[in-house]
Amino acid sequence: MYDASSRSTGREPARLRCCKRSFPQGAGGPSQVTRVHRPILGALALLLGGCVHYYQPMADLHRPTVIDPRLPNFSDVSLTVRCEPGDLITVQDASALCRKVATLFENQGATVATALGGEEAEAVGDDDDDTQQAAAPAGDLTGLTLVLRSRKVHASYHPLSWVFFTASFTVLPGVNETTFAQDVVVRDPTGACSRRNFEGRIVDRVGFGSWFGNTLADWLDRDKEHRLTGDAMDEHLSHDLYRQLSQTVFNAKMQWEIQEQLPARAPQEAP
Amino acid sequence: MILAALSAGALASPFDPAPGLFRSRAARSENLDCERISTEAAVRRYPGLVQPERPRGDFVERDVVVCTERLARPGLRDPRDEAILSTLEDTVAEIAGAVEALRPDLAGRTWLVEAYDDSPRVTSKVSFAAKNALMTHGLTVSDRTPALSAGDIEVLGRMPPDQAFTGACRRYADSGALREQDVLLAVTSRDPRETVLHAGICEGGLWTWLQ
Repeated sequence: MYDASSRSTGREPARLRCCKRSFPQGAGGPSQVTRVHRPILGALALLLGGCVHYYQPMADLHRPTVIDPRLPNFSDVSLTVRCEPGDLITVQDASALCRKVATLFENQGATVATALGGEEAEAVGDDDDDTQQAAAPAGDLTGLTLVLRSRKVHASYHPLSWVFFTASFTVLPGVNETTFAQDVVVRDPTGACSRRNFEGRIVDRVGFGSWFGNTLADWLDRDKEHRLTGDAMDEHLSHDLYRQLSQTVFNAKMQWEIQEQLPARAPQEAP
Repeated sequence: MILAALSAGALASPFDPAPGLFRSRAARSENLDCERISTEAAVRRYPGLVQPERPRGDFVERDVVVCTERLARPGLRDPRDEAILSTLEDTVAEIAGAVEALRPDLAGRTWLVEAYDDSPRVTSKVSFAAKNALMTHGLTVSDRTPALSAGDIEVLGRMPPDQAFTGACRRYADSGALREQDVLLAVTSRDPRETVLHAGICEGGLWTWLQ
């Protein structure tokens, strides 16, 4: 019951922060230990050093793209962005992600509406004016639906690293990591869809050694694009994800234009 | 200095593909395609390289992240060429599958393949890969390339892509460049901003998009 359809407003899409905030919340095993100790370790790290978040694109997130998100690539598209909360992102995070992605496409000329939740929530939201407007694009606009699902693929807490972290007075880093997946489905007006799965890995290295070494390297050696401290992880992840989403939707739009010219055949069943 | 050296040594975990103190994004992580697999799968896939779990379990949790270095380093090729070529094998396999599934009536014909792209290198690679994929599906493929006159090319070049393909197909049939038993498979990209390839068939002067 968390369908919260809303119209987006044109502005600069904000950087994504959902992954950093939404680390494992599951019970049991390493995740539970991480949850219990994270505040204590975080406070310790703040006192004695810092934390550096590393983002590593794993599958498809760093695939080359051609589309320029600053240009009006979707002026003939009516896009519904549907974000589904899951084990990695909460309803609030999904809502924030939807707003940012909506802004991304609105800046490229698309008519955008957003909605939260899965198929059931969509049926409940049919009474909502915005959802109905999104489902029935006006005029010659191509109606596409972009569905975003975030999944936690793996979370790992390296206990030995925390032993060394403590024994070395935070010179050696304590390490946590999470592998996430962003499943993307683009549906055209017939319900046919194209899918992409993006995977990435977030590695947290906590401690004075990690923070000091990288801050020094950022300051002395690395150019702005390759810096790793501060908000670098958010920037790099947003950059990759926004470009891939733009490219995926554009490719789907081109595919739909071909589909329109094909001889009539039975519509494909949406998953 | 001692602290800095200690920090550096501590941070340089040599097997972790994530960016770090001695691994820039461009040099390492953006040049790798990685996947996370279970320890059991890793033992099967890389016997000898990954130790199997002990019968009573390992003392510490172990992860396996398998990374493959890309053939061409980032920035070496044009991004669009890289995007098309890096998935070319899958793309042509999909096209050949669509040909077999959607037009089984053309299985006995001779297939000619044409690729259209701004880059001659990409064009030749796409054409070669598409021919191979058709042959894999048991189709007869010819190396012959149907030709149009300079006048035809000039006129067709000024048309929108959809009309150009329809017009070119008709001209191939009318001029005899495409014989009765021939079928032309054209592989092309319709917009410079897309990174997928589309395919169509020209047969008996009629153009049909496949995908």
